[in-house]
Amino acid sequence: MTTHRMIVDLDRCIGCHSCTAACIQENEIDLGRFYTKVINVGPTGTYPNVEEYYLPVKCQHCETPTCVKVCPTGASYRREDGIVLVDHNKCIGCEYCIMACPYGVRSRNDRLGVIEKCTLCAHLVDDGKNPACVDICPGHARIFGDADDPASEVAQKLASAGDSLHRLADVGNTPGEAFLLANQTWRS
Amino acid sequence: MDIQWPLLVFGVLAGLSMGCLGFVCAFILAGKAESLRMPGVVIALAAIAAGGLASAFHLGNPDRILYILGNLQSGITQELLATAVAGVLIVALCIALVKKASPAVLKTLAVLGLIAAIALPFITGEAYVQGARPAWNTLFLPIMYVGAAFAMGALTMTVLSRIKHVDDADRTLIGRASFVAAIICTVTVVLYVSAVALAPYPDPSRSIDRLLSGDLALLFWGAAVALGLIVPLALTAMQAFGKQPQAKGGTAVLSRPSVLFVGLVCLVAGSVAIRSIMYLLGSSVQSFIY
Repeated sequence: MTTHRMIVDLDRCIGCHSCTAACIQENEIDLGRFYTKVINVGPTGTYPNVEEYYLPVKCQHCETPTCVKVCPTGASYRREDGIVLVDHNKCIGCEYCIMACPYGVRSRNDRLGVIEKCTLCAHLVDDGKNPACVDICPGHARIFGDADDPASEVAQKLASAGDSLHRLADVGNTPGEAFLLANQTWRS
Repeated sequence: MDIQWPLLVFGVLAGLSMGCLGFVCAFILAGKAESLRMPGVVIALAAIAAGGLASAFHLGNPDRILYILGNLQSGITQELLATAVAGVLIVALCIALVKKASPAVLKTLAVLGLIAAIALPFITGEAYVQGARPAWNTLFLPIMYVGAAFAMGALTMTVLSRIKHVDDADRTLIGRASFVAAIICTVTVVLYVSAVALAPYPDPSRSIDRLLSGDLALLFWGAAVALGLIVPLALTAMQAFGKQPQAKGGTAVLSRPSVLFVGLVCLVAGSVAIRSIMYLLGSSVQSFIY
């Protein structure tokens, strides 16, 4: 059994937006839309105790994705390896999944009339490669692999992270991806 | 979230349709207001057809609309099925009334119609109830949709009762039902707004302050409350407790069909306003990219 997972080490993220650029290039995303973005969290606090970190956000490939539950056509689906995808041939562009997503990471491709989001570069993953955002990251902040393989870096990071492991808000969707942040206070 | 106009129009027209259907069914079961049944069914049919058509404009690929039946768990699939069932019932009732079907057939259709009249607005509202959008994640939202449908149907029947000159007993009964419906509608709006105020994951984008004194105050107080609740309440109170329409002078003018129709337009405008507010408050728990 394979479960593809990505974690982002926020202590290593320098906010360079390379992931956003690589994603747009790899997935040929229309101008103005994004599958992944980098958000500034902060600055918070008072000088000299000021904190700020960068939060790269995208589809969290949830364990129980609400987008899949509400999709009327079955276009949104979760693969056995945990990647949540949208079948363009079935999508009617009703935007119900956009309403159901807690993170605002889906958008409509008006040219095709379908909904799109991060695919975790499933086309690359199926060829045994990493998602484009992982390979481009200069700080090695994005860690990708099989969470079910104890020897993988992602599995080891998840096992050893302890209190530095964080996830986005969970409203019943159980986000599949995670963030590492040890040097600052998690505020996301 | 931006106002989703095709969905909003569908919700309002489906509510109007189900309100009319519900009252026609109630008339059949109670043996009242025979002259209002056919016009009521025709309005219900026209409204649900127009609403269904409007909803198709929301889709990116409307040619694939039948794919919607692919997931029965989905609120949209349930809406489509409920709309289809309601539409079939309205057509069946229409045929039964034209063909002067037996009382047993009419009553059977009326019972089913009553169920559909409550179910469709509830399912339409329930489709929005989801954890991702705190301002929508309350059962008071579908209940508000049912309340609005009830009030729109009741006021439509009141207008028809003035046009068709039904007898005094029926007119009084419809007037009182209309007043009760306006009260229920008001209560459901208050409950929904209260739920928004108490919703988890507070955020300025869905704050109650936006309604009470912020950028949505005019839409809320002016359209949703004044037009959508106070005007219908006042007009229906006159129908329930005021002078008979044949009386002259004073407040009798408020029972004219044209005045009541303006009241119905106000009620619909109010319903549009509160649903617009619902969309505008419908920000997600964490909206990162859009």
